[in-house]
Amino acid sequence: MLWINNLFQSPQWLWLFTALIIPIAIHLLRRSNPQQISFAALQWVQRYSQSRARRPIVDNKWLLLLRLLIVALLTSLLAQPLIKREIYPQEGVILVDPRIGAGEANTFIHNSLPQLVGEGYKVLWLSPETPSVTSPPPQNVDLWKTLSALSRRADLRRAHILLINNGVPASHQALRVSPHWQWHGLDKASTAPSPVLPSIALMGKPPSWWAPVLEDWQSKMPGLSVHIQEQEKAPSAEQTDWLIYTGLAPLPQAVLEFVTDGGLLITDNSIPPTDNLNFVAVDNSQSTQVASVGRGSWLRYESDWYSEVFYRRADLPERLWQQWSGQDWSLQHENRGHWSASKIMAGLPVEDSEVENRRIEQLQPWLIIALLLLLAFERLIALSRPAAIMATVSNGEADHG
Amino acid sequence: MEYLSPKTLASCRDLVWLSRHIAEGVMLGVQHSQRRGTGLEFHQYRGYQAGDSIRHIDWKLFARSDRYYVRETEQESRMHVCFVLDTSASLGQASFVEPSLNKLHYAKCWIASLCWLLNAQGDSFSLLAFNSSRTVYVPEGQGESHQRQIALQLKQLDASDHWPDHTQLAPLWQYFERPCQVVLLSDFFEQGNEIGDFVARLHAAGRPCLPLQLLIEAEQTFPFGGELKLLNPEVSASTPATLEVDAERQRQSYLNAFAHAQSELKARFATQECSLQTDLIEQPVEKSLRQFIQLHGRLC
Repeated sequence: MLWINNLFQSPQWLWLFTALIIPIAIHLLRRSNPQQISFAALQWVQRYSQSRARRPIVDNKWLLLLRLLIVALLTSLLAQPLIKREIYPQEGVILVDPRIGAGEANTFIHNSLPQLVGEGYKVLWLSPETPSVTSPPPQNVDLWKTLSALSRRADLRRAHILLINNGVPASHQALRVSPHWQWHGLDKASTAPSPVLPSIALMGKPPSWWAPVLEDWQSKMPGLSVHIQEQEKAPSAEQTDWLIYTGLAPLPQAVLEFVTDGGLLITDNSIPPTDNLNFVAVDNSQSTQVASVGRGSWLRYESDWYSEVFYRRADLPERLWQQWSGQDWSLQHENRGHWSASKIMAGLPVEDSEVENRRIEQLQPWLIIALLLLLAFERLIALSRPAAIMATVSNGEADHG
Repeated sequence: MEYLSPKTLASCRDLVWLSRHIAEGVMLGVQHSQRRGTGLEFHQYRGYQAGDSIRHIDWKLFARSDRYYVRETEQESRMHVCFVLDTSASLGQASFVEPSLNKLHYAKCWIASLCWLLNAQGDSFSLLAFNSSRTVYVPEGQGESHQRQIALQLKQLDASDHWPDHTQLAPLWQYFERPCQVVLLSDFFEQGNEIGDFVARLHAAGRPCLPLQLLIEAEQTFPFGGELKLLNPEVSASTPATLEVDAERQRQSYLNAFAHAQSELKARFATQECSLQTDLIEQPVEKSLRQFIQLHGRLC
């Protein structure tokens, strides 16, 4: 029944089509019981026999048809039919990185893309809403997610993408791109600071895997530092972003205060969860769970991170970085926009077959207009018909004399 | 003066009061001058009865006796009008505009009102109402008591059966032996030509009748729609008891046939020097009476 779901937004109302039998039944019943009237001038009424068999099955066919249409339209209105329109890829669309000014982008287009200037082109900001460049540039756009989203837009399949060639692309999700996109890079001196790195603190004895992981991170992200925290004194949330706690249960009050103030606490299963916290699994992974505590979060591994099962894997540094940075929303927000087109060619292409090149549109306004018109017609026809008069008076009833 | 609406006409049960009300409307302005004519002689005093006009009370006698007496006068009759009323079942046809009013009730009010007018000018009148099963005859007379008697007889009439056949009509001819002006009220819906023969025979006997045809509006316009089962109130060999019709398809043919029959009927009366007046019972009785009096100047 999937095809019904594609045709109607609320297919549960389709059962109302059975109401079509109501007008049919009314017309049939009215036909079977003609009104009886006493009429003295009967001798001038033509006497050709009009047997039931020769009579039409229903009277007032047009009226019946109108009434059936009204019921059908009403049902359709409730079921909300959807119509799909073909969308064709537009040529000559240029999506501009919002960090580039509109004038700068136009200069680039005139110099580097003269073929578009001749044919006519459309310049849009690279953002989920793709506004025109005549409007102010959207701020702080997550280009990675935006590109992934726009890669599924049929009308933007053949767009030109203009990005700044600086920064470091990063995200914990794969980038999706259209294979038809034409990439253009604008070399612009980076005025943005280098990516923000978290301030990490470790409380307790570090696990054996910690040193190689940290070494790996520091090779990729120079400047990343870790502060070894004393057991008795928890870091303040203002200075430290992540706190890796390897101490004993229960959690010291100072650590809890750190999380409540906005820090990210990372523990393994040796620290039992507090009753009033609602832990949820992260990334459908049963081994990692996270709970919101005050303004911060508590990332907890359900396994023992001293066990080999936990750390014997080649992608441990990347995996931990993704899991931990994925929970630090402020870090993600600050790092947004610090990457560019230089490395995103490796994005996963979205094939044409995966793109929905039909847009679903609702028909409600047209259906309402049609319904009102039909109702008006029905009333017009019904009221313009001379009403059959039922004679209920017998001979003596009116004779009061 | 406002006319009585069909609803008032149908709902009023006092035929005497109703007819007097209608007649006074028709006679407005002419009644008293006509009564003060020559030949108006004192006949008798009688006790006042409810319904008598207080104008007829003799106030001097009241002052002497402390009782109400009505002064009855004797007038030389100038004309004898015989009302012939068809009470066949088709006269029971009710109006579709005001279903409580039927042709017979309208005819009763019409006759009773005209009796008032005739009484006012001193004419005498009689009533012959018949169908195939019942005949009611009120012989010639005049005065208010006679008028009341006619109203009483009218009140008891019902519409049923058919127009009488020749054998049933035979004993009725005796009522027309004395010179009289016949006023015939019917819908003139005939099976053959029985009413026409009756009129022709009256005409041949020197009693030309003044015909009044009573119809309902629907008989002239056939305003029905959809499937209808028509019931014939007056079943005969030539017309079926019921007929199922598609009213819209039948309308034009019916209107043509009915108009043709009406023109034939008018032509037939015209040859007998009797103008047929056709009235719809949805119209006020006063209008019908005025038109009838204007059409037949010899009546009033």
